[in-house]
Amino acid sequence: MELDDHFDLVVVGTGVTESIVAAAAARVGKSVLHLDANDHYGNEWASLSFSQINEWCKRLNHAVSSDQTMPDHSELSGEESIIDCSENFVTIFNCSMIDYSLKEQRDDDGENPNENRDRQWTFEKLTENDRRFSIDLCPRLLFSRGSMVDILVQSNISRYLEFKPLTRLLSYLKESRELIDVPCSRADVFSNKLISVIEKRILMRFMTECIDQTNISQQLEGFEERPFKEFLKSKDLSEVLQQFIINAVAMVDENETTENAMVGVNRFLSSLGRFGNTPFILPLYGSGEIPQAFCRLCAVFGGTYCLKRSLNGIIVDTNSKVTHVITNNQRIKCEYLVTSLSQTPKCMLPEKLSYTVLSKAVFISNGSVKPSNKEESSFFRLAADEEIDHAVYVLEVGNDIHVAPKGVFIVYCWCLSKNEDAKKDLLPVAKKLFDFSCSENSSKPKLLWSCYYNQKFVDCSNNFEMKIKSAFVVSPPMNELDYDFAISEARQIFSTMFPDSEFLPRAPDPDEIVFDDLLVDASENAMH
Amino acid sequence: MDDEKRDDTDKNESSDDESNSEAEEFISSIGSSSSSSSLKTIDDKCCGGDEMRQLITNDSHDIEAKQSFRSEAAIYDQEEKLKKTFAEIKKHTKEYFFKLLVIGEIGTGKTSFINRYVHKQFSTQYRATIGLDFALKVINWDKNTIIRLQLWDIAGQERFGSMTRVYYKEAVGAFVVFDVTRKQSLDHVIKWKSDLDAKVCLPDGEPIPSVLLANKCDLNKDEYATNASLMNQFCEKHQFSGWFYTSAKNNINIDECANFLISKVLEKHTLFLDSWHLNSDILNLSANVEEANRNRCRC
Repeated sequence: MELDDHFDLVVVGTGVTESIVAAAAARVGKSVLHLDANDHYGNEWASLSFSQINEWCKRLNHAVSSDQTMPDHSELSGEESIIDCSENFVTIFNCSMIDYSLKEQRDDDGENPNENRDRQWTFEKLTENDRRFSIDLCPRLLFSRGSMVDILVQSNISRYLEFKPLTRLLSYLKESRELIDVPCSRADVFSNKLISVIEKRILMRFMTECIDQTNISQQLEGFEERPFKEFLKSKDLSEVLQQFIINAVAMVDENETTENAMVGVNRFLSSLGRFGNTPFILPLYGSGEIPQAFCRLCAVFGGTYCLKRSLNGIIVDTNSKVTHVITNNQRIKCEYLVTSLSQTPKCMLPEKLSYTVLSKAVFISNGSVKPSNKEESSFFRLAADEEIDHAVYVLEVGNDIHVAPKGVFIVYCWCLSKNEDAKKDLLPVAKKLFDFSCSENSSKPKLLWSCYYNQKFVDCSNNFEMKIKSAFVVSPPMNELDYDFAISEARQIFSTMFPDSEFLPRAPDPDEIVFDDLLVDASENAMH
Repeated sequence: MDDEKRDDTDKNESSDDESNSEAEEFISSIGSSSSSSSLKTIDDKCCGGDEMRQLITNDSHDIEAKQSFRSEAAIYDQEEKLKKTFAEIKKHTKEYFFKLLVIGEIGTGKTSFINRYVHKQFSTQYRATIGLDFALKVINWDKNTIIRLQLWDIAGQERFGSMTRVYYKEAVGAFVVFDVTRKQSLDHVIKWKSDLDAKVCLPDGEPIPSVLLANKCDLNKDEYATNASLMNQFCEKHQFSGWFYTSAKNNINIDECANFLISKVLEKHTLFLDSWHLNSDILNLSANVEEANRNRCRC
């Protein structure tokens, strides 16, 4: 089946940023063609099943040379030139996958395989439960009053998604090497057994002061540029409370300036109390649902979707403006082109791109890092120490948000990389959380499967002059918790393309749509 | 599940005050609880239907109009009366919420089928359904059962087979439509059916009930589609619950096939109760957005 020959906007890649742009454009009546080279939605922001992520890892390690053929130049008129799309920019590298589950099964084969099968998660059993897994390539938490929640509600795209509150925030105590709960409400503070009554008062006083903005700005005086830790010390907060506030509330490094840290504190506090006990919510079935919700809105407003489809060529005129794209030997006219960095031809980009590298890991385990009597989802920030170079975000999810079968947990870790070697960066984290000793009586959960990879982050929003006009390159996922960067980038691209259009106005609910022609039909029928 | 709802009502009762504003708030909260509940909380809301909401809305208008000369006590009485009616209806009415999919190749008459079934109309003009996610239909299945249907059409342009999970997720039944005048549209049915079964299933892992519609049966049928025993074999092989000749144009078998699918879904509905129950703490942002956090303290 042929695609239409003309679109206002062609978008390549179904990641979050691209999907927001596509939805916003379709919503205001632009015609949109949205392609993705992958066979699933989400690109680097996708959620994959267990077998899909295994394939994904294998594919990264055996980079298949592109079998694309250059489009025929004879079709071009004299004023046009063509950009070769055979080699794209690579963002994900160093992927290593370790399967622990197979080994266990082989060791135990001799004894009683049937009994073990019930108890243990073998590779086969994980594969049988394939569809119960939704493993995020880009795990995220949404602040209850953050920009993603705002945009979902404002645009009514929230109707495609369901969320659950993150059930607990944890904090890692360096001294005792254990995880403890962070109190998020007055009730939590007072029922907490780890802090003394005096500490509780001090903590409550500090938090109340923080909520009262006018008061706190006076108290900050003199501390704005000084390390946050010094400010907290001046407030008589104990070491444990300081760790709470630095890592769990402000989520900064302890030598961050007080002024910057207070931005984090305010963000945290303003999202408290809206939905659950913590300031965060998580999408059911993984964060890969979020780009799909935007894609569905785009499709509902007429956007055309084609997966497993990439560009073969981009045609530009003498002013270096994009006029057409070529896909499957079809020449499609377009006004604008938006491409995800990982699906952008190398030759469209500057020779030297400055980038930062993230280290990421996915762990699948047979138990929670902090066992509880109910299904939980947990988050904590692990501060840098002798073993860890940069602070690491750790998110553990499971059956609570329908991303893993009962009894299995997925732990995501992500951080800025120092070594450009994800395994080197994150193995120390795994060693803190999981049992590597193979002993029966360890209290820590055992790993079933893990995967480490590095991802390049390039800020494409303004750090380089595009050689090509009316084309936009979208940054890959940044090292953040929520989607603030992605949303502001999408908004910027949209308003550059369509400066006079509203960005994602509320979409009507189905029962609000009146069928004019049906009313006409009805009156005609009545006449006959 | 009924108990849970009753608990909610009790909570409202105890927190109520006799003041005007509180009474109004309570009434509007009943109204919104029956209109904005999400798919998952279905068993929490075996209560209220359109009639009930009608009743509530009328009465709340009533209250507004008479507010100026009515004493607070009178309003309180009214409120009590409402609560009783509400509880009475709730006890006897079961309400289900089904998401049904309508899938198939372009031009097989999916949108016409939905329009005929939901709006009782047939239009020969092809009309792209811009901005429309799904059509709604409320059925009084029997005396005590109300079924709210959401019929999800393929958004105009997902026709290249690239459906988002948003479309498939939590569907409980599907119509797979083909055009009896075109043999190849039946071949595509196999592709659609396997895509469906790969993306959504019942909680026990079985495929969701689905019905094959041999649409446009008012026109000249392709040979294959005239052979009923071949069609039966086809349905058995590809795990369809059944098949129907349909015509959206001449209104043939439209209600019949829908009722058949609904009955198949009802047979399976007990499977869903568990999962619905477990998911009672799911947030629906569209519904929760106005909710103030009065009862919650910040630290």
